[in-house]
Amino acid sequence: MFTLPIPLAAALLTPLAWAQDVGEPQPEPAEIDELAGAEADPEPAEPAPTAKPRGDLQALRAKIDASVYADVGIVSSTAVDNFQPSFNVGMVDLFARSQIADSVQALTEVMAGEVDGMLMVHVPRIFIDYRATGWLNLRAGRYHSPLGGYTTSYPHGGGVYRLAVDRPRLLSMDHGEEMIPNHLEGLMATATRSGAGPAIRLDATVARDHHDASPGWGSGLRLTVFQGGMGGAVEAGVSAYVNRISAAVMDHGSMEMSHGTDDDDELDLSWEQIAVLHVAVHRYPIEGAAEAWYIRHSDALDLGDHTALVGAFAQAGYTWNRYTPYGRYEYFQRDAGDPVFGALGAPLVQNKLSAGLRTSVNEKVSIKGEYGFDLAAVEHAVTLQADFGF
Amino acid sequence: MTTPSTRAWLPRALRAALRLVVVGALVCGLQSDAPRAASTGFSMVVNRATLDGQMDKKQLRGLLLGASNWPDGSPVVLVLLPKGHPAMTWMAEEVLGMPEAAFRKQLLQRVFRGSSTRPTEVGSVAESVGVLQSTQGALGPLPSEGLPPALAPIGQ
Repeated sequence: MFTLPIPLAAALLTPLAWAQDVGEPQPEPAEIDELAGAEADPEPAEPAPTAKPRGDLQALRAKIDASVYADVGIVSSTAVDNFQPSFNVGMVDLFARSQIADSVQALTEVMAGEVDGMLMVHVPRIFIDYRATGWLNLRAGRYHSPLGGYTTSYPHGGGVYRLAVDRPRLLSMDHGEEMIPNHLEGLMATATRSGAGPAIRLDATVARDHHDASPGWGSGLRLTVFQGGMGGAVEAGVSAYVNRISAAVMDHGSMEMSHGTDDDDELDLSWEQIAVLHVAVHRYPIEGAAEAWYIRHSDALDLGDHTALVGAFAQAGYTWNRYTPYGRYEYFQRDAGDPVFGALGAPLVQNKLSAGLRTSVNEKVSIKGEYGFDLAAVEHAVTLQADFGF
Repeated sequence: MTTPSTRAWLPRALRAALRLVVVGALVCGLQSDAPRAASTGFSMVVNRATLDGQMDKKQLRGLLLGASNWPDGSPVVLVLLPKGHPAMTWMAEEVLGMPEAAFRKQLLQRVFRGSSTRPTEVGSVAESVGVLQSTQGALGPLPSEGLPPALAPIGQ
């Protein structure tokens, strides 16, 4: 269970703060003229105001960044009789980030929505960042796992920032579908080196993961190189993660490991090993990402009995004005008999091609239309989705 | 092996391709000249106490698009004028090569990721000057002329 931190509680209990956040302070046309005039003025040396807050609400806003994210959509698929469309309302994402002190920040994210007819509240992220030095950041709490680039670049609720209507299936964060340890609870240290030439970032984590089918304790490393320094147009990285899967899950898993035993003594401990390569391009107007995944479940850390999943995805989009046509291809294949993926009911093969158009109404609203073709199940789907963030 | 018909077709195609490249280059040249003409009069400005020295355009881009700290480790505090202000349009289009809306969306995404804090929004040039003068690590676009001595242009 989680206790809401003070910044989030304050944000949630201040409706005016949300109302204030709906729109950026927009100048009146006359004020724009005035501003344009100010540029021509060679001496804008009027008494310089300091960054004083303009009232209590402004002071609160200065300390807390609060946003709400949501999405609604219509899906029509050949997997359903008569191509019957269904209306989807995604979970509402309440997000708050606060600067507690000069080198300390907190982030809280709460998601709520209906899942299988029941109200579900989920806390995907809640952590504190402490910047120990200019190059070292320490994080404690629950956060997205530093595995590949997509998981941390596109948090669950921010559909408005995503290229496609959903995440790749392998990286799904939907309830009951999580195949990888998306959320970790523990400690993460991030070291960065920037200067002339490429920048380097190293993330190291020791944490408990709690993905749907295989909670356990693990540790991982991610090394990312940014061409042209931090914020460069191209990044490439390699990640590794080793996780000890809990006994409860292995007992619960109804399927057997590939070595074909159902002996509880052998099944009650297992290991998950993950290796990921990722590349991402984010130089306007190009937006692209590709990742290759290898996931191995075994009863020991050696190369003995094990099951494996091999998968990859690539997606790219190109923006013209407000319009971004995009495409994605995703594929994975896993061994039958994997107790973790078996318990999830994950498909043995995922082979899907998607193409769509994202229209950015503004920086806070996007509308997407997407066609998806599942080559493995031979199913077609059409989705229309609106994503909001305000 | 080429047939007589392809031999006749090939030079025409090459000439057409050449024309396309020349026209394309001209169009691109015109397009890249236009914003440059509009770019005069603005600078990215920082408090002199924050940065002792210069910074090239590439490093400046990195600060605006990804890095959350100055080289000495202090946090970058972006100070943004209202949406549509000429200085904002200049910064997005000239310094970063994208529309202002795309830049603002990237900023919000970075905040949502947890890798950055929300920029400081100000309502006027005068307010921006005040915040830039009084905040360590602050960075923002301003008209180049009439900058107070405490502020310095970077990424020239």
